[in-house]
Amino acid sequence: MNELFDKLILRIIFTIVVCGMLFFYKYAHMMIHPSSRKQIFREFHPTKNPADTLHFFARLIGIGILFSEFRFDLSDGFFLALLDFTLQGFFAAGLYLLSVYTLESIVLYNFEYKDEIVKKRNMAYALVGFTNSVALATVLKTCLSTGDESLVMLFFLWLFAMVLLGFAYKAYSVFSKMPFTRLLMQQNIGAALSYSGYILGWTMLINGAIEQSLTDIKWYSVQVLLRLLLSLIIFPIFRKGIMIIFRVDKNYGVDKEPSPEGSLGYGIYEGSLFFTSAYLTTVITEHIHFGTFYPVS
Amino acid sequence: MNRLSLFTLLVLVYLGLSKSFSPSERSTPYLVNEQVFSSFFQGAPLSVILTDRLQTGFLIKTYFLELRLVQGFKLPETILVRTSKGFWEKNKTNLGMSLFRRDEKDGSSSVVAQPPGAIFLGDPSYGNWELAPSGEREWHFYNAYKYFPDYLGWGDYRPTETFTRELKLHLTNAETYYGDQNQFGTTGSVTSKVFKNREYKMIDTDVDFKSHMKKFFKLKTSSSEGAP
Repeated sequence: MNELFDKLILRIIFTIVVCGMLFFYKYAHMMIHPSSRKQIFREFHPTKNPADTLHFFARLIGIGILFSEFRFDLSDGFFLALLDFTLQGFFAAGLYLLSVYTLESIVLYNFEYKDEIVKKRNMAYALVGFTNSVALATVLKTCLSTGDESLVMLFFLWLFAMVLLGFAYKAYSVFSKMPFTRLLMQQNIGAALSYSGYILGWTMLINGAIEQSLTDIKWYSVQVLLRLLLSLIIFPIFRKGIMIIFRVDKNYGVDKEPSPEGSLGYGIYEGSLFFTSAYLTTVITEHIHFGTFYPVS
Repeated sequence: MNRLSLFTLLVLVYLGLSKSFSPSERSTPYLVNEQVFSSFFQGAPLSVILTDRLQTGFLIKTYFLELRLVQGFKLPETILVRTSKGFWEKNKTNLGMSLFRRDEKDGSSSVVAQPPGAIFLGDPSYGNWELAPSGEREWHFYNAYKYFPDYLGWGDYRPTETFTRELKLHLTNAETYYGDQNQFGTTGSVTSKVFKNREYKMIDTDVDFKSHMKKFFKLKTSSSEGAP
């Protein structure tokens, strides 16, 4: 019984430690995003601005996803476990905030947080921010798991993953027919949904590619590259296949600009198509077990 | 059209990279047929015995031969090589046979499939003839080479003088010989016994469909677990 109580106390202490890390995150967030200084320190009213709520809590969800990867190993004692967590936690939270800042600078380079969220209450912008936060947290979580406690490896994996995500974002205009920036300015949720489906889908593919055992850097890089190339081959086949099988009218604004409802519908369609195609691609790239089908490998 | 070209390029890059880094491509040499054996296998005396043959792949097959290299003064070595379909098919009946041999005396080599150990038979450096209960003389290796019958895939069989005479005759005429009583080769009595447990599973033939389907109807029993 003593041991059970002791374990429970340890769990509660670690819960408080994680909360302490969230407290640090609050300040780090303010340093990297000075524009949201007021937002993060004053009392938050979710009922006043739903766009702000979505944008704000997306970061919190992200940090939650990221911290879910941490482990406390008490084999070497309580303080070393705490030290490990603190070190990794600080580093990962810093990288996460830097990632969010970098990606938003690329994707939303001609948008201002104050204009879009505070003044216009742009839900589309908030949704894009939400997607970016969740996608980055998921990717960073995979980097943490692959890096296996090494901060150096975590840093390089993070850099690698960021480059891949950057490429994925740049390729969005190839896959989507929607004028993303213009529609986002018009607060069109459809464009945000299309983008969300695309980025979350590619996050899944990038995660699948980097989630491999890392024993030799050269071999690992080749494997990641090969899996990504395979994803690039399979993804369009699924996308095209779904479009043919379900006979969807894929024309977007051929003669004239579609209505906001029309754009919303098309955005839902594109987002779903991207996400489903990416999901199905992971079946082909990750879930085929050849076993002894090729006994020589 | 541009997208199609890009897609084709992607496929080619993927295949090129995969080929460059594929472990099977790097670890298994390609021997197109018996003509390359002489330059590929070094040393003498040497007998290269076919111990298994397998094909892998769904539509595009890769053909493999598992070969055992038995040398006079070294432990035997087993290697896997890729080969052409033609040579693979040609050796369908040659399991357990020696596909290549090189004599240590004159360095001459032969690529005609023969029962394993032809280069050692009758050579007084390796063994001698002993009278068997059947009245025939059988070949027995000296104690220093007591494991050779296992290396060569003979099992309990010991070649007789008649067998050896016929073997040498076929060797001179460059003809394949499976034994006076069809002891060697895929259907041979000795080979079937020695090579009954093959390393590589033959997919589609070794699978038990009934037991495979059982997993869909498996019931998992509950087990008690301690507190977390």
